[in-house]
This record gives sequence, C-alpha cells and structure tokens, in this order.
Amino acid sequence: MNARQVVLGLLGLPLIVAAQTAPDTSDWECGFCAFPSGLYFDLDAGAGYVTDDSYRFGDYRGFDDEGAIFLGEFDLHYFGDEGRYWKALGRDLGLDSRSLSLEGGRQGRYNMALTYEKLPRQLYGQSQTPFSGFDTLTLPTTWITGSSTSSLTQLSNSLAPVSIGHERETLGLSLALVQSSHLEYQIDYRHEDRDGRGIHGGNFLSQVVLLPEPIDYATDEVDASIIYTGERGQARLNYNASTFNSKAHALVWDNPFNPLAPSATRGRAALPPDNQAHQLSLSGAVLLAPATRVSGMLAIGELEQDDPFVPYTINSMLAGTALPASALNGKVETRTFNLSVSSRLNKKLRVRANFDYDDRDNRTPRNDYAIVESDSFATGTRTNVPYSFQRTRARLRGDYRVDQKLTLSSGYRYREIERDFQEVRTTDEHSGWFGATLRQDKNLSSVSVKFGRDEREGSGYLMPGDPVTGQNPLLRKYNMADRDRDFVQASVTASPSDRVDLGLSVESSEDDYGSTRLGLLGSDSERVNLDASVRLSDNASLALFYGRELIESVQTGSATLPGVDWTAAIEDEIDTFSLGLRLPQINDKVDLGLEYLFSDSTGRIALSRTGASIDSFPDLSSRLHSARLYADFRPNDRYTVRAGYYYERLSTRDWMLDGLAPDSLPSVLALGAETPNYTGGVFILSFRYSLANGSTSDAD
Amino acid sequence: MTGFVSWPGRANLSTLALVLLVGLPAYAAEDSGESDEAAYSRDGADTCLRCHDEGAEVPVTEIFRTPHGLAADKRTPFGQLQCESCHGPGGKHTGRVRRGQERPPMIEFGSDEETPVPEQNTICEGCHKGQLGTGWHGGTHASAELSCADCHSVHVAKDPVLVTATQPQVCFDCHRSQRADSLKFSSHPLRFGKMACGDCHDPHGSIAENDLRGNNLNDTCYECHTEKRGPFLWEHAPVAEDCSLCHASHGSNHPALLKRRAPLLCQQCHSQRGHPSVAHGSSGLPTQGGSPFLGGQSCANCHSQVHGSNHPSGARKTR
Repeated sequence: MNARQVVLGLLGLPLIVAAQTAPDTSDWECGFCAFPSGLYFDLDAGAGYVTDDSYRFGDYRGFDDEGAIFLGEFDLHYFGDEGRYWKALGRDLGLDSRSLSLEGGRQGRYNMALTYEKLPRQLYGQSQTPFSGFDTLTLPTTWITGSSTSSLTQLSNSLAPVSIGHERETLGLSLALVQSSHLEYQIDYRHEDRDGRGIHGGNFLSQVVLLPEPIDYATDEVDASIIYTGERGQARLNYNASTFNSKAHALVWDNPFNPLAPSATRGRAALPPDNQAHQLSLSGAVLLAPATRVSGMLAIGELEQDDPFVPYTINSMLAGTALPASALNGKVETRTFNLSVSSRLNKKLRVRANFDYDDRDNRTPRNDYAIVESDSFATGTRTNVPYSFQRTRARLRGDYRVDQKLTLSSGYRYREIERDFQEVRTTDEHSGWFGATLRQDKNLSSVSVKFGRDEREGSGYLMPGDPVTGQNPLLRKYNMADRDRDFVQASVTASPSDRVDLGLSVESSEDDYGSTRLGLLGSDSERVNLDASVRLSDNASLALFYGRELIESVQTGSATLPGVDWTAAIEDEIDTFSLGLRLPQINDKVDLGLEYLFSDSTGRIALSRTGASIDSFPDLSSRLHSARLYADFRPNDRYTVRAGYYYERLSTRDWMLDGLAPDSLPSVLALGAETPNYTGGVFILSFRYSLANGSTSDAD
Repeated sequence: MTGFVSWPGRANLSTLALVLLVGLPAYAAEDSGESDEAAYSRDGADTCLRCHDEGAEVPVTEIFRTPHGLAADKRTPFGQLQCESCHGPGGKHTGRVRRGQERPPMIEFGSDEETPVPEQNTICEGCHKGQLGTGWHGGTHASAELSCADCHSVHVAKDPVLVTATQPQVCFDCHRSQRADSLKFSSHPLRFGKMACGDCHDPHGSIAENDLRGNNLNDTCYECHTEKRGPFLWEHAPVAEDCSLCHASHGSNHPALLKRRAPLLCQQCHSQRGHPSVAHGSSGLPTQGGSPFLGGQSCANCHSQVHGSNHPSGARKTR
C-alpha cells in the first residue's frame, strides 16, 4: 500500500474507486438489485403460560407470576423515496421487560429516534417486614419492643410481604444531522426512572434491623457532539451532562427493640444524594504520515453534590450540635488527557505508544463533624476526607510480522496512581509481556501465546497503628500493597474441516503480595474454555461451549495484636456449559432449535485459627439449568407458527441467607429474604405474519 | 427471549460469501504495474447477481435492506460502484474463463481471507472514519489485526453485532472467558438480551483501559449506577478509586457481582480493633446461634452505606 492510496482512502472514497480509472457506469442499471420500497414487517402475536410463581424467575424477564401472558413483537421498516425511511421495533410487549423504538429520517441527511425500555430487577420476592411506609417506616401501633428478636411478641402477626427489587424505565430521544460530508451533529437525551425497594441495614449500636429501602430515582442525561471528518483527520467536540435525583433523601424508621440509649426510639439514615456530572471533551486524530496516526483526547469535567444535610441525629436528646454547613458543597474536578501514536514503520513492524492521564481532584470542603453514632451517642468529631486520585499510564507496544504466518508482539506498561489521605501516597506498576501468534491456512487455524509479569510497588505504607481507626499496623490493603503478578494466556483455533471450528483458551494468573503479613496474601486464577461449532449440513448447526474456572486466595487476620492469628483459604470453582442445536428447514417447512445452559459453582472457605478451633463455612453453591426448545412451522413465506418451551431451574445454597427467618438472629430483625431457588417454565405459542419480500424497485 | 449460544457462521455471513471471491487485492495489481488490466465488470451489480443471487450458497441480496444498499445515498457502495465499490474491479473475475478454471479472485473480507487485513480495513475506513472515532488505530482490536468483517456482517438485513440481543454472541466468539462469566449466577443481563458488551466497551478503541466507554472504569459504571456517583461527605476510598476492587463486572458466583464473600471481602482491608478483626466461623451462622456479622447482609447489616454516605454522622457508613 502506498501513500497515495492511504490518502485517497481518507478522502472518503473507497480505495479501489480512487485507485482505478473511473469506469463508465452508464449501463449499470442494477436491474437485478432488489431495492426495497414500501413497508416490510414482521408481526408476532401469541400467548404463553408461565407454569410457576417465582419472583426471581421474573428477574430481567418478567415471568414472575403463574398464568397466561401476552406475547407480542413487531419489526417494521418502511423504505421511502430518496433514502427516507422509518423503522419501528417492539420486543416482549406483554412482559415487564418490554422495549419499543421508533426511528425515522433520510439516510445521509438526518435521523431521529425515540426509544423506550423497561427492565425488571427482581431479587427477593418472599421477604417480610413489620414496617410500613415509604421513606418513613413505622411499626404497627400494637408493636411491643423487646431486647432481642425472640422477645418481639408482635412480630409474627405484624409481618407483611415485601419484594426486594426495582424496575428501570428508560426513555431516549436522539437526533443526528449530517450537514456535509465533513460535518455532523448528534444529540441524545435519556431519562430513566428507577422504582422499587432495596435492603437497608439500620442499627442502634448492636441491634440491627434490615429495612426495605425506598428506590425512587430519576436520571437525566444529555450528550451532544459535533463531529468533523476531514481529509487527513477527524475531530469530535462533545458535551455530556447527567443529573441524578432521588425522591427520598432520608430513611426514618422506628426502633423495634428496647432502646439501648436514651430516646433512641427512631433512626434516620441518608439516602443517595442528588448529584450531577458535566464533561466537555475534545478528541481528534490526524494522519501525520502515510502510516502514522496521532490521536488524542482532552476532557474536563465536574461532579457536584449539594443535597441538604439531614441533622446529625433524629434523637432529640443528642441533637444540639450545629452542622458546619447546610450541605456538602461537594465538588470533584476531573481532567483527562490522552495521546496515542501508532505507526507502521515498514511492512513488518508496527508500533504503538499511548500516554494517559486521569485526574479526580476532589475539591469538597473539609469540615469537622460531631458524630452521633447510630442515633445513640456522641463519639466526638471527625473530619471528612475527600479522596483524590491521579492516574498516569504509559504504554508501548510493538508487533513484528516475521512472515505471513508468525507475528511476535511485546509490550510494556507503566502505571502510577497518586492518592491523598490514604496509606500509600504513590504506587508504581511496571508490566511487561511477550506474545506470539502463529496462523496457518489463511488464518483458519492459529496458536497464540502471551505471558508477562507485573510488579507493583508503593512509596511506603503510612499507617503505623492508626490511633483513630485502630487499624492493625501489619495490615496491607490489597489495592495499595506491593504485588507481583505473573500471567500467561494461550489460545488455539482450528478448523479441521470446512464444517468444524474449534477454539481453546487457557488463562492463568498468580498474584503474590509478598510483603503483606496481614490481609490478602495471594490470589490465583486459572481458567480453561473450549468451544466448537459444527455445520451438520447446509443448514443445521451445533454449537458447544465449556468453561472451567478456579479462583483461589489466602488471607490472614488478627484478633489479637500484633500477631497474625487466623487464616482463610477461599476457593471458587465454576463450570459452565452451553449447547445449541439448530435444525432449520426440515421438510422445507419446519425449523427446530434447542439451547441449553448449565452453570455450576461451588465456593469453599476453609478457616484456621492459632490456639483455638474454628469451624469452616459450609460450601456455597449455585446451579443453573436453562433450556429453550422451539419449533417453527412455515406453511408459506408469510406465516410462521412457533411453539416453544422455556425452562429454567436455579438452586443455590448460601449460608448468609439459608434458614434466615426474621427472628433467626437475636440482634438482627431480618427480612427473611430467601436464598434464590426456583423452577420456572413458560409454554409459548405464537403466530408471525411477515412481509419481507414486498414490492421492490429497480434503481433510479 | 434471547439465546445464549453462538451459532456457527452467524456473524460472518458476509465473510463466507466472500470466500467465493478469493483473490488478490487491486492495490497489488497496481503495485505490480498491472492496473490497466483491473477493469470493472460490464454491468456492475447485475453481473455479480447473476451468480450471487438469492439461491446462492450464501445469499447476499439482503444488503439492499441495509444502509449500504441505498443507491439514493451517494456515499454508499450502491450510490457509487455497487459491489465493486468494496470488492474492487470485477472485470477479470466476471470475464470468460476456461471450463474448470477458477475465476480470478476479488477483494475479500475477514481475517481468514487472502486480502491483507490492513487493506480490507482501509476500504471500510474510507467511508466510516466518523463511526470509527479516534481510538481505532491505537486500540486493541486494530493491534490484533482484526478485520472489520470479523465482527460486522454487511450482507444481512441486521448486522448481529449492532443488535443488543445478539451482539454478545459475536464478541464471545473470541472472548470465551467473558462468555463463561455471563453465564454465572450473578451477572449483567447479557444472556437475557437486555444488555450488550458495547454498553460498557467501545470495540473501536478508547482511551480507558479495556476500551471502556467512560474515561475510566468508575465513570463507565456510573452511567447506570448514578446513585453511587457522589461525591459523598463520607467516601469509601476503594469505591471512589475503582469499582473492580470489590466487583467482578463480567460475572461472579457471589451475589451483586462481588469478588469474595463478606465478611472476608471486607476483612481484606479492615482489621481494626474489635469486631472487624475477629474470625467468624460457621458457629455464627443463622442456623447455629446467629452472629450479626454473618447472617443477612453480613458487615452491611450495620455498614449499609458502603458506597458512601452523605449523613453528617455517617463516617462509619452506618447512617
């Protein structure tokens, strides 16, 4: 490839066009070209039956209630004159996971789109609580407090069901305008509502109550860009603004227990504060030489949060101290800079260099706050700590093509993170890697290997027995501790025949926190993934995948200063498998399909303690079977009848939740949230009417 | 409902189609001084479609239902030189050949094809610089010499990689570990077709690590989790620094995408005097006596504001 071709390619014309003499196309009638005109559509309508009540089966899908459901989808595309068009798309119309979109415009000139999406997040459906209300949770008037959950005599007859989960509803509007071949404008607006309940732990000293936390959020976002595309480069100027608003600013609840502190009969917690973020960025790329490009980005931004403070406490006996400010006046300034150079030095060698800088400068004012702990007692003053981070990263990579089959690659990365108000001021990371890729048979088969080492070192750990936090001086937080990481990755792809594709990948990583005595000492992960796809015939196909992963880590703790006196060895083992079988056009009228997924995980935590015995935890486990079977009958090109069955079964064991009734724990009034276990099924029968071969017209 | 299986060849119909058009690129002809022989076909697409019609082994005619097939838009292939806009002059390929002789090749797309990937991509980039953005040439996929056609299918009415429900299966063809992660007990809703890899990652390259869409990982997460953005009066330092210190974004066998199980996750950084430093074993489980440090939300039974608190008394994240 020569310079002329590259430059001509960047002129916005296909390379071949420019490289050849323009042909005489006056006879190119495109008579066989099936240019569409008018309306093309698929309309689906049908019914389904959900076989079981299961809140969790409805997660992300909307299949939570047993009974009949409406199934509806549509896909309409209208092709008009001169590139005018509109499209409408609807999915899962009868479910709480429905989505709709409408788009129209004139290709190459402008387009507009309107989108709507609803997404249910359903976590725990059988929870129970004696509280009622939204952001002020009250107990029944007949409630009798007690010193522990077993003495809450009105609990059992006060419990009412509450579902833990939320729904997202998102409305989007976008507009794009092409002014010329060089200049385009885009603007997108998004509004999202989230409504539901989460879990909030509220405590009064050692007494705890798990509460349904109100979720009533609204997020608005505007993203606007001007895009310039020139002969030798391009540029984008972008502005993004996002605001978050919560209807509830605080959660107030009655204390169900006998107060441990005077007048501690109610608690109050702050909920996520309203906030906003703004960013202005300019990015661009330019062709400096025939095979050398420089690109970069510069962005400045600001996060703001000025939600009014709630008082220190709702406890009337402790509410005397004035706040230093009525609101945080929180402000974080962000600055991001990037410069990248990539160059093909010759036919064999390509190099790339990147420099990135990302600064989170927290300008939030620092003040002393007179802490009232859990609305129960004053604990003195604390000064807020606005954390700032500066990340600097430099990368260099080279790829050398030895011949048509073998490519050698190598890279180096330096990363520095500067923190303030934390144990380590600066961590430096040096990482080097080497890789090789061998391709055979026009890349149908390949072997690639990559291995490397990463060394992180801190500027010194500044926490010798913190008198305020009481942190053990031996502890090294793993994100700032010195660490050596060795990693290797390998993958093989092969096509032993023109009907079979195979892929295998292996990854291994070892983290060693060599200078840590207390905290995370090390972590290893190994994984193997294998996939295969087989074309059984001209139409039928089979796809298989199997993955296995093992994650191990060791950490230590110390309940008795200064030594280390307990150790936890954690092991997570995960197997995943999927199968897909597609048998289309049986007898020219019937398509069959099967998809099956299996995911199985086991989590083991082995504990040992010096000088005393300790029982390890039972295994954590999750096992998911999911299958989808369908048959499509096509009597002709326009009609399709689909019958299908969707089945899913999830069984989990989780010692955090197993057997946890609201009064299982003496000092924790729980929600009785169940470990997710369900069996769900959906029978489907639907009809599709298609007009996919409608009127077509020849070229103008 | 959306499947979780990659079907063979689904993402690369165009590539398969072009296997039929094996050949040397036109630039090679020019470099060797043979450009005068690189004539175009006689009738343009009509010549091509005589063989590559709907009955062909891999149909290509759905291209007319895509933006590429709109003749009224003079920026598109069919607004210019039709099939030969991208595949190069087809004069030799469409000319007479002896019986049994293989037709001279044309430009083909896909990294398993003869045409060198940089030259393939230059053809696409000639029109798509704006969509590529500024990150492609310094990005991961370009360094790996991926062809545009490895991910994009231009001869089908809907390119699978541009549809939320089907995009992950295209990515998973290479990113096998991420496929496994997406099938775990706790994961983002990719397997339900409600989220795509491109919601967080820019496959055409970005300035952030792992080609994230935001300037960094946290900015990317805050796109959907705005309530955790702050700034808060009482920040939790690792939260402000990097969400992935505690969460495995692609999937986990622990709830809420957590990397470890509480209280041990918290105890990797908290060994303060008192209850944070104590080893908790199975004797504290709900079924065996009931420790407030294990059952329910574990540490978050009290410290529920782990992502940050704006309460004046929330220094310990309990309010």
